[in-house]
Amino acid sequence: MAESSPSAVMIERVRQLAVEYGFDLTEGEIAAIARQTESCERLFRVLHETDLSGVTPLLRLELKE
Amino acid sequence: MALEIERATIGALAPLIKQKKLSPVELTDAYLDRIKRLNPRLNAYVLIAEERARTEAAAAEREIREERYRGPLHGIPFSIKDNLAVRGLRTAAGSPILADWVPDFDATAVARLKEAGAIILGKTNMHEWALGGTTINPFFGTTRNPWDTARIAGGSSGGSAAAVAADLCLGALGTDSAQSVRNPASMCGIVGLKPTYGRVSQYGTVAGTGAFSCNHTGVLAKNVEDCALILQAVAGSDPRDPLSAGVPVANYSAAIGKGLEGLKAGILRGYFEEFIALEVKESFAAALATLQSLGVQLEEATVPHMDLIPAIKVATSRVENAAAHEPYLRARSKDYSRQTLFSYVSALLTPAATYVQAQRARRLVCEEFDALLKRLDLFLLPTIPFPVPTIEDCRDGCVEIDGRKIRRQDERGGLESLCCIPFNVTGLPAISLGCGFSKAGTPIGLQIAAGAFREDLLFRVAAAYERKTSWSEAKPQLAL
Repeated sequence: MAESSPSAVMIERVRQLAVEYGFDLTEGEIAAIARQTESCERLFRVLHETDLSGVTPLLRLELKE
Repeated sequence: MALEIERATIGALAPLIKQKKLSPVELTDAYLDRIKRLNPRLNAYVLIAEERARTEAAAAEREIREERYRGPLHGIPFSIKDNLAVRGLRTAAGSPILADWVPDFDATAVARLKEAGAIILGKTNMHEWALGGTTINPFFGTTRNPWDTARIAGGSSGGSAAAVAADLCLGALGTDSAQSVRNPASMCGIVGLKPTYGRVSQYGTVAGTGAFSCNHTGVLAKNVEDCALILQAVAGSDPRDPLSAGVPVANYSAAIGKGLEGLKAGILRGYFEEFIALEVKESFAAALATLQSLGVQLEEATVPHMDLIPAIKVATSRVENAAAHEPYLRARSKDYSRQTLFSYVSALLTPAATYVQAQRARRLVCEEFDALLKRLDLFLLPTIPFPVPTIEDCRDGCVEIDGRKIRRQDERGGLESLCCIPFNVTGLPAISLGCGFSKAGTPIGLQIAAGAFREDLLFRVAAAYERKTSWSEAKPQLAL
């Protein structure tokens, strides 16, 4: 399956980051990072779609015997 | 006395050392000699501390001669993953960024091994910054699997696992933030333990080699008995690690040999099942039957929000890793492999709200596991969904499952980690041990998990399974 093209917005975000941090990235590399980031955003969607209202975020693993 | 190094275990050698029938100096020399012969082929070690190991062995021998025997690890040769600080030994974490770093302190787990009298032979290879499961390292080379040198040793503690499997040490320390002890243990046919979160101090683990809230210092050993002996030495609270647990340390060896009748195990179901190869399914099914014959009651176990685990794990790891790497990314970005750099750059773009939402989901999942543990003692699942991939396939970015080549990595990370990550998210202890071999002759691993701080139960079950089967007796054929 052909890989989808990343959005222009995401490409711009990666480009800005590259400038801020001084990364030496080619246009192809910027596109690859943007694609990877959007792919992760799709993975994370399920976290935002699940009803977690009222659940306190776990601040540290509180394991008991 | 004649030493059959391929059959040597800590449990077998320790009494001989105690009785002064086996010299720690001769034992250390035997391992150093074997490392010289085999390491060029396997690349398990990235640093061999030859002189220092001999000095430590001589000191151990002197102490034992003077009736100051410290216990079962006294005079026993170990290797240490290259992201755990060892005073005076370069600790590079698989990266050129730290290639000149020589710590002036020991990681707590290393210090405890030394206090127990262990001999440190050297530092073992790992995936760059522990960010992957292959130990194909562009800077320190690829670690090869002793069972088939055309295949990976797994990772990220691949060097530690290969060293134990090839008898280049008697035990090893590794770290596991997604799979990194259990995966290579499975691929190399040895025992790998990821203890409960906080059971072993993380002090001295290189920051950025795994998300701090998912990472664990773990143990790699030739058999379950040895694994228990090593954990006994390194476990316990540590004032230098605020995340370490104050729960008392059990007597792990005492758990070995007890029967399994009446124990209830849940066969864990979930998102990883679609990637389980037929050969792994068959070995796992046979392992279940064996455990059943030993008295374990089996049932299906379903965690209601199991499918959230990959997203929780990835969101957590990306943010925690990005935070740790931020200064290096600003100053040393050229010293990352491109693939690793892309991952960290991408991670910098993870929204804070996603991280917090992941921690909400994580609490939910932890509570669901806790609810199941009210009626179950154990969870069972394969360690790796498919047989050990070739180095060539991994370099091409794919893995073969039942004759089909598929992408090895997607947004969830390496597919090989999918069965392991539930226990990094929950912090529950999990052990991997051999349960068969693929048609290609490489090991397949069984993963057993239990409630928090129940490593004693893991050792009890794993040892009973190990004694009932002969998988741990098989050895890779390595011509010297």
